[in-house]
Amino acid sequence: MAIVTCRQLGYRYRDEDSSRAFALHGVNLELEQGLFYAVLGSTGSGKSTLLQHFNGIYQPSEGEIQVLDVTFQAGQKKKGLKELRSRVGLVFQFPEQQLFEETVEKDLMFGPIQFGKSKEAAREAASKALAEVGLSRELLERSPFELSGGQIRKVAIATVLASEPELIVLDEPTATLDPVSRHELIELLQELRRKEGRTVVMVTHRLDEVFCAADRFVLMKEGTITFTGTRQELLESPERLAEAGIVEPQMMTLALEASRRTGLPVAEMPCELDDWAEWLMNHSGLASGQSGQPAHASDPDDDNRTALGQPAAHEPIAEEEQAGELRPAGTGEEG
Amino acid sequence: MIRMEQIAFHYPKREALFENLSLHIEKGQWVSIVGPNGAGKSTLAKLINGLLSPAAGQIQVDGLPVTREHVDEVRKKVGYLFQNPDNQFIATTVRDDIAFGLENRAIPREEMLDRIQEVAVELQIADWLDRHPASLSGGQKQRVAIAGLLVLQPDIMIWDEATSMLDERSKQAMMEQLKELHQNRNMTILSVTHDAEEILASERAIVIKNGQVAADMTPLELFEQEELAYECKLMPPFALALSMAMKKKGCRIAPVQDERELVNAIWPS
Repeated sequence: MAIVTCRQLGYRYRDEDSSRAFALHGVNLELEQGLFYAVLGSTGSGKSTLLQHFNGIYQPSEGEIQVLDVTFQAGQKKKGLKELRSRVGLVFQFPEQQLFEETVEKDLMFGPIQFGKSKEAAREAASKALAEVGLSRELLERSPFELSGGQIRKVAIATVLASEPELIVLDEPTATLDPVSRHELIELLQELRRKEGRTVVMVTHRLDEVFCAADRFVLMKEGTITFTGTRQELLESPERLAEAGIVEPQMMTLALEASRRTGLPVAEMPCELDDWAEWLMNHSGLASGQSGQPAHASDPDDDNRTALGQPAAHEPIAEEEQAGELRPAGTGEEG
Repeated sequence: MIRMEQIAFHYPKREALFENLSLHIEKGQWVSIVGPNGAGKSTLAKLINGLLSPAAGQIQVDGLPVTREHVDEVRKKVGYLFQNPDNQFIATTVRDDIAFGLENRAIPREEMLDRIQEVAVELQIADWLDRHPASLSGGQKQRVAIAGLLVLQPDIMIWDEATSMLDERSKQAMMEQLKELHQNRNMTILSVTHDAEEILASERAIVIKNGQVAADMTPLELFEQEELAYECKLMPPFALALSMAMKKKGCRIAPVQDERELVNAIWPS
């Protein structure tokens, strides 16, 4: 089921004169519920403008966009968007700018209270959201402005999670985070998608960080969408990346080169680091007689591995048995 | 070139950040400063150009003590590039912005214009000289900021997370810039960074931890010490991580810097 549908969506900033190009133009896009979308494009490609249509901050200058059960059409200004905004959580590019209360807890409770929860329920939602982003309860009483950059970013994301939105939209949430925090954040988003069936849309300019995590990739250039597809489809058309000004991830370069050398399709190649190490050892002269590793084909865990041609995880369902701690990166998906 | 001897430093009403830190950096060396969050990486960089002063110990830059009386001299030698490109502009055109430092040093107008033109050509920003800095992209702004530093002909460049707000393309362009500054001008470079590729391109990685220089090694050695690298919030690039994983599984493969080296190691042609 589509959660967002754009039909010929266009947007022009009001203060631009009409001779200037649209910030968005002719965008046709369908986002399915329960998938993780990565939106990529260089500066000024229209990524942020598109995202801000998802909860009605911007409304179309052309065409229309349907988000959940709300349809925005060009020329019709819609008001009363509180319900939509409780269901679509938007994390801005510098989410620390979204924090304004004197304690982390108050900031976390603000959304739920606005959307009609009691104080008690909001407090509970606040604790839960803080735990979801992996931060300690001790931070609840602290001022958000005393926290480290990475912590502030996580708190800002938690303020959005506290309202339990169905659609979580993040505009470059990993920018300026250190590599370990970036990795942790993407794991969190994968968890929210996998365990709770939330739909995640994340803008980034680093394809490498989401290459294995995202289910679908949307490439944008000069206000238009130039590509929408799966990882395998992306692997089949690497020229689209260059066209959108996106740097090809090292893994993709390796997969394409390995395919050329071995004659095997890229779709069969692994996604995770350890699987790659074994795959390469089994498909090159390097391993033979040196490693003593079993051949990949006879590996008993073989069925549980994710390959480049497969979705990042199976279709969105709540997998209760996985409740608990985050699994480390490099673990294959459960089958 | 840079000598820090037994430095102590603390911010007001906070615990000591450095108690007895010593560090020497030779002329022309490209050094990455890494460490856990809050370890004092940026503080260290700011002590070197006198933006902050130590409570105890001595700092020398090119033989000059970094003290109140010499700080102007020191800052002529040390260019400091900040993380946020928006925080370093004051003028309304790129040209005036680059001129600012020269004007402060009372450089004659003719020479000033020549120097701006020269550096603009070198950094390929000549076409933007009449533009407003705000009209530039993040990567372009950082390039202009570098021009503003280079025009003062420093011997040392400090980059404080200078590429962390940029997109991948701009970041790669900045890396090329850094390589050129290092090679062509023999510039001493100190870079506070989390970027694995930038660290690997440098010659020396200094780990600041618990108020000390906790490790001082080659960048490759740092990434091979996985726990320490993780503690510093660093992750190796995919190709390096993969070569290390293969080695652990018993494969005879040397650590590689990028995917091309990896392919060549796996399928030697």
